[in-house]
Amino acid sequence: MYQYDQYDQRAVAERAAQFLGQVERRLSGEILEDEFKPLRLQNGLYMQLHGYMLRVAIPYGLLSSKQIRKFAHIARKFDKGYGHLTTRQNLQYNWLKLQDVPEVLRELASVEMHAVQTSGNCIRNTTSDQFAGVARDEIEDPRPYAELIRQWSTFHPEFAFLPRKFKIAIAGTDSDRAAIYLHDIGVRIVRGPSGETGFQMLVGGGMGRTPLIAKSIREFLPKQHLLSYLESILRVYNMHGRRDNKFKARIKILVDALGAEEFGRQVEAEWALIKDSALQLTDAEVQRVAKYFAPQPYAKLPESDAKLDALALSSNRDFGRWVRNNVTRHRQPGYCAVTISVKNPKVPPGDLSDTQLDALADLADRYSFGEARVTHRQNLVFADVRVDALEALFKDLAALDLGVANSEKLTDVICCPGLDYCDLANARSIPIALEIMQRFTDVDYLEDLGDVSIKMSGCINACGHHHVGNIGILGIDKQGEEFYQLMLGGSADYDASIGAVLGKAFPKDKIVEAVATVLDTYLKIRDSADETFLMTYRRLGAEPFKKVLYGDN
Amino acid sequence: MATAKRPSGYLLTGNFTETGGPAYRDPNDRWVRDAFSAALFPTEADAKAVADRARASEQRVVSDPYVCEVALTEAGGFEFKSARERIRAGGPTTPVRRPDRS
Amino acid sequence: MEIIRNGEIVQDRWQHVADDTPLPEGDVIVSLTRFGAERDALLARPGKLGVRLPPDVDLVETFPLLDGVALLAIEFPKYTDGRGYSTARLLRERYDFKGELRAVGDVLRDQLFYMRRCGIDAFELKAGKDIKGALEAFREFSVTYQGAADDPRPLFRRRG
Repeated sequence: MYQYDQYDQRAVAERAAQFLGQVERRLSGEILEDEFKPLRLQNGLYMQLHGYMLRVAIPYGLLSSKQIRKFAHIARKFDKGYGHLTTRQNLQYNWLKLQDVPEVLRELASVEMHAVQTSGNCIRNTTSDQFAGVARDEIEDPRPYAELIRQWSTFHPEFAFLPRKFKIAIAGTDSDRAAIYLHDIGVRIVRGPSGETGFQMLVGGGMGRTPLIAKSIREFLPKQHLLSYLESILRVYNMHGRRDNKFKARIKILVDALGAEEFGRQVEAEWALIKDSALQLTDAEVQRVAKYFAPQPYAKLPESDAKLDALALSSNRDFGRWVRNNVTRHRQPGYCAVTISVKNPKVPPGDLSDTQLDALADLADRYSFGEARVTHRQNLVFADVRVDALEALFKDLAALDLGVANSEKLTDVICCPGLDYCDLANARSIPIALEIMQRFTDVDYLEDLGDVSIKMSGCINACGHHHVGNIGILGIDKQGEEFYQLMLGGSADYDASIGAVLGKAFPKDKIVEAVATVLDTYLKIRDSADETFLMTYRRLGAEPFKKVLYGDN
Repeated sequence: MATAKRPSGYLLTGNFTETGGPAYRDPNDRWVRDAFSAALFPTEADAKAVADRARASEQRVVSDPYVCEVALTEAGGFEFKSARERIRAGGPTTPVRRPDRS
Repeated sequence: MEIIRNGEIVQDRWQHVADDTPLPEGDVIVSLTRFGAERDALLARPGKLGVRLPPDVDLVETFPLLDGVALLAIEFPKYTDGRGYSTARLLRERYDFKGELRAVGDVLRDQLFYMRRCGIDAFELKAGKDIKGALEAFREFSVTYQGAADDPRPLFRRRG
């Protein structure tokens, strides 16, 4: 993975020092909260319901064991002993004291981490595919470009006060595990006319109040133009994005208002003027960064697909199930990628204790070359595990309560912190997630249900990606009480779709029952066990579900 | 089923600058953690005047003070009107203590 | 009044003039509207001329008219309105403006570093803010990743 050089290191150290000054001025009263707020947001520090929340950037989700140990240490020393994984591959701490935050940032800087621009109206963490570099269907590893985008976007002096937040995702495969169609800019690695790789540029996707699927404004962009093209998009947005209404300020609104064609025209006009500037990527720089993502020093092993098939049918049913659901084929013979489910009915989804974090660091060292990835489903991936080590790894994970075999199944919920923590929320989301995880524990039932994503948010900001869940739940406030809208048919894949609300919202004590009814209905009307929930919904529409839930009302 | 609307009271709340935790202004003009020690103002205007003063001069202690309307109970206490304020006062309703920690 | 220019605190000799106020002697800064209405007279008078540019200024239309203007004051009505950063960069890097570029409005210490990178060389700090302390903002970072008005080369062209 990328190693900071002296410049990177100095940049985060200076930023931590700058923030220390800002915190001191806040605590002394020299600056007031309304001046301090955008400054702390640019360092990822939110004021939530119960305390300050720090969002640590994990660039494209990639972590070293050293960094995981640091997370554990910070959780122990400064927080309440745990951290939370987010849908943008970041980690959040919920209980920090303001005066400790500069030291936390220094600790993070010592392991090449930071919280820069994880909040505020600026360019946020660039996210990517959790199987980058190892997936069989990968056209090219997106991570070097994600790192180049990170460096271009961090401390960008022109784009620190955009109309609204800005999120970029990049994917390099045929299946979109990075939800690029739901981002402000989605970058897709594609093959060009002569077989060389380049980028398809998508703009204007997003969820929230106005969910929209991104539009392509450039089918093929040669690689060396990546940064200048991004700069053009950002400049057009900075200058013309709406600033009069917070809920209409994202780039998707501008793209929608102008139309993709006109928006693309403006971008291309700006780009024409800067494409030959110093922003052009040099081969030297691309190679410098790419070499940090060279393949791991794999052992030369025989091909292992048959072995994996056999393990999936293991007489140890729990292990077999885990292999079937949580293990992904790998481009290197003898290796596989393991999804570690951070979805345990006893704790909020995505939460990891300091004990678990320390243990995971050791396991990463032992099983996966000392690295792990955070997924946008709030899980972890060990991307380079020997197939012949799977049984041992499973045992070690199970001992940590991290061996749940539910990847991409119903109980692999995506869930925001919600009203239990978040200042923006209208309703709680974690109790709903826990109720679902606690109710649907029959593993055979879950496997029979197959792949179905349930995603829930405590407010319209959609941090839980509820618009693109096969089953989406949105918490709302009705006269001070919590209600839940149920929507079906969302998808974050390349065939992205926004879920449709079924009908009247359910009270808190009825929503999980409604979900159960939806699932039972699916099982009744699907045409075979091979037809996933989403396929059934797309075939038959919302009607059968509406009817069962609401009768003929 | 309609219930008789209970009379409203108003209290002042905000976040402690140091910890970010919820703060409530008590009858002695101190900011405290315990919501149910909060001073109750009879009118919103009364409370707002104090909130404005706090916002102007007490920012070292508390950030973003605001007025919160509550429902007065017959027993002389009050209840919060929204889930949000109940959770601020009472803490997260989900497990904070990790099961694997002592 | 004191302003920051080229990293130093100096006394400002420019005067901002409202649209309906008669022009005093000396160097004046007027709104774009007034400039549009009284351009010839403004350029003909002795004393240098500055023009305030609003956040939504269209440089393609406006810049050709600014010949002879010595100072452009980029308005930041709220510090959260970041359009001025793009305006500044374009003025320096595309339109090759050589006069003084000044940030006016809701200008706070923690924006100064980025503003200077975008080509702004003078700053009217928001009233009541500590101008001496603000100077430290320019020294807060010794590393920059991106090319900008101060140096068009991204770090990758300066590394090694």
